[in-house]
Amino acid sequence: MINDRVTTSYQYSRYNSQIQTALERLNNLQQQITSGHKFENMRDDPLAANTVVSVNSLKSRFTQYNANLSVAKEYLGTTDQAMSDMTDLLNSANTIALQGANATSDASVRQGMVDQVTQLQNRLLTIANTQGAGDKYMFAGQNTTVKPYAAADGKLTFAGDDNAVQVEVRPGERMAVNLPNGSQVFTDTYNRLESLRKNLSSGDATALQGSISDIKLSLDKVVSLRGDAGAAMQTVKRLSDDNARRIDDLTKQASDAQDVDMADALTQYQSAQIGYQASLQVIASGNKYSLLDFLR
Amino acid sequence: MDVTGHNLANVNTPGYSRQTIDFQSMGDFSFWDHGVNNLGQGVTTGQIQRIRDNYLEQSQNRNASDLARANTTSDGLARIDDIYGEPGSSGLSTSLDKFFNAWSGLSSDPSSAAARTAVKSAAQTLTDGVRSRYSDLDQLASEATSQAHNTIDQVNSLAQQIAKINSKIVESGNQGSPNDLLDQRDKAINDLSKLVDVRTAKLSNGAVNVSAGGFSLVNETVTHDLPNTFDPATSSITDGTSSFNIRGGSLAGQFETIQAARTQQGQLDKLADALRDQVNSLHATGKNANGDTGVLFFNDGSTAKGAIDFNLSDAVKADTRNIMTGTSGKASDAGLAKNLADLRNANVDSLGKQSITDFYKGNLTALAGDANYQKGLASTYNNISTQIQGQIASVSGVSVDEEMVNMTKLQRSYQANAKMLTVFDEVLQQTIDMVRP
Repeated sequence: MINDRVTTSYQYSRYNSQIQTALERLNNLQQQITSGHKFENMRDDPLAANTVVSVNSLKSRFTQYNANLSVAKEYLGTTDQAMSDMTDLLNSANTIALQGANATSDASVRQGMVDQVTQLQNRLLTIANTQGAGDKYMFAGQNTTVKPYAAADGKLTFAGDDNAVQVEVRPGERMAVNLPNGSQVFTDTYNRLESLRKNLSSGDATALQGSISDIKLSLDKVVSLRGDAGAAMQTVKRLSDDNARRIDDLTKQASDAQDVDMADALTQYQSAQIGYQASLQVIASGNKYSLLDFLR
Repeated sequence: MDVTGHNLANVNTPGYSRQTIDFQSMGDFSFWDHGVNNLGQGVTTGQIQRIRDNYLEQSQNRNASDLARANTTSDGLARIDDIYGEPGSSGLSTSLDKFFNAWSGLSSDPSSAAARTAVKSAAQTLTDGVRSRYSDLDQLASEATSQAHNTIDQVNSLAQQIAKINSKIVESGNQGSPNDLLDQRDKAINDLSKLVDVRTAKLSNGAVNVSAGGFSLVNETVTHDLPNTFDPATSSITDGTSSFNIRGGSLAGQFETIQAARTQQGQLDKLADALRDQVNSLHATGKNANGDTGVLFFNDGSTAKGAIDFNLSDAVKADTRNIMTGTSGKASDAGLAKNLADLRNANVDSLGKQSITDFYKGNLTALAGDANYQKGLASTYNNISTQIQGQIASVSGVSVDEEMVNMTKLQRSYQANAKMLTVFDEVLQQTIDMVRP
């Protein structure tokens, strides 16, 4: 500013505003360094703060999706285990059927085989009524609080439904995680074991051959379902990794928007400090003399 | 020398204008009545002048009004921004996210008691957050209201002060130079400018008429009290028959603060109503394991309105099993929970066809933008104020050095006069000696 007169009060008001400016800059940088944030409030930088809010919001969603995926893992893990147990069970049934087809003469031997098959049926019932976290029945469709399978008169009844249990895994994306049409594989297999039991009891060799191929069908189905569960598990794993990566990316984005670049801030702080000292120095030395000092 | 001393004594007095003295030579003195040998009589002091730039003064007053308004508004908006407390883990944005996330969690694991409790506690945090912010805004608005009343009182007392000075100046007949009175009045008008936007008119008798927003505060020696009834929405004051717009000073800033707080309360009302309506209407279609239907999630929108009593329904408060996940009553029917989780992206008509989260974020960003703008404005006005003050200090301020120079000059002239007397005395002495016999 060009002034004709430099008056004492003008000088002091200029000094005051200069010191204030230098001090404000220093204080601002000090605050940034101690908090690690470029800004604390929305008003300091509405655009960047808006980014931070949006990014944090998205981040919390992905964190939730990862939590949801743990439910998917529970279902798929249980399915995998159940199908593995079913494979063992059907292999045992197959062995018994083959033995039965070859040695049908001895009634007491056949009775032992019948008892074994009955035990296999009981095991199947236990597998079908598997419960997960919170005592929910895993193969009951959506009717997870009611025990879904019961055996009566050589038949398996189903009290659940065929609805899918879905988990939100990504924004707007849901994934069915329970065994699709779960009841079918259990009821079919149970019925086949029942006919195997009858055929062993009667010693009908031709019918036993039929049972052997039936069991093969069930085994194929179980293996394919296990494969499906495995593939779904892979998807879950991939989604979980994707989400974790997204969370990392979003964390970085939020940090870019809000966090202070320390090296830069410290350099600026040092220069601000020098600026402040300089302005104090100038005031101290520039104001040392007045005409008063030279008048005797 | 007296004027110089006065200047030096007031070097730090705010509003003081440096004074100068006009020296005039006295008229001629004629010795012999013949018009010859006229002699100068010396010097006399004329008017003591107040050095002041009227244009600068008016700019200063206008800017003081603008600065005070921007500062007050900026502070008010900053406080509202603080009430929202974003971005932060305790902000409403996080609460909204957690609420919808909890529904997403429940929709993925509908039979889980923990997921149900998570929905309830997230909803409780959300409703508490909305309610407490609403009451914080209420508090802010009523504080600003009482500040506005205080400001009006201050305006009135300054107006009385100006009227008093007016009457002293008029009494003195505007004779001589009531410089210090003028300074006091200028200071009072400047102080008044910080409170309201002021218009002044100088009268020939030396008095100044002052009005604020078209309302006559000071008419020569008479004052009119600024009415205490105002409408922050229109930033106006009314005396019952007509209203006067207040556009500057901290009073305008207080009005803007009140208005901003009320607007934000309205936004929270909209948010709460949208949440209540949207969630309740879906939730009421649900059926739980006990076969209950028609259960509301938030409290009933037909009796509870807005943010002030936004809360969970008694049913949900009492038992998390009243949180519906589906319409079939089956434990793992999550269709409804899924739809409720999807509400986060659903456009709501009452929110201008925006989703609930977008509405909240948009409002927040607009508010922050406003606060940021006002802060910038305040800083600009502050810079201008520094400039004007600098200019005023340059024109009207006392320079110690300058006064010292003046003092030395006057001292020398005094010495010269004294010397003149001595020489004259000597000459006279010599003359007397000469004629002595």
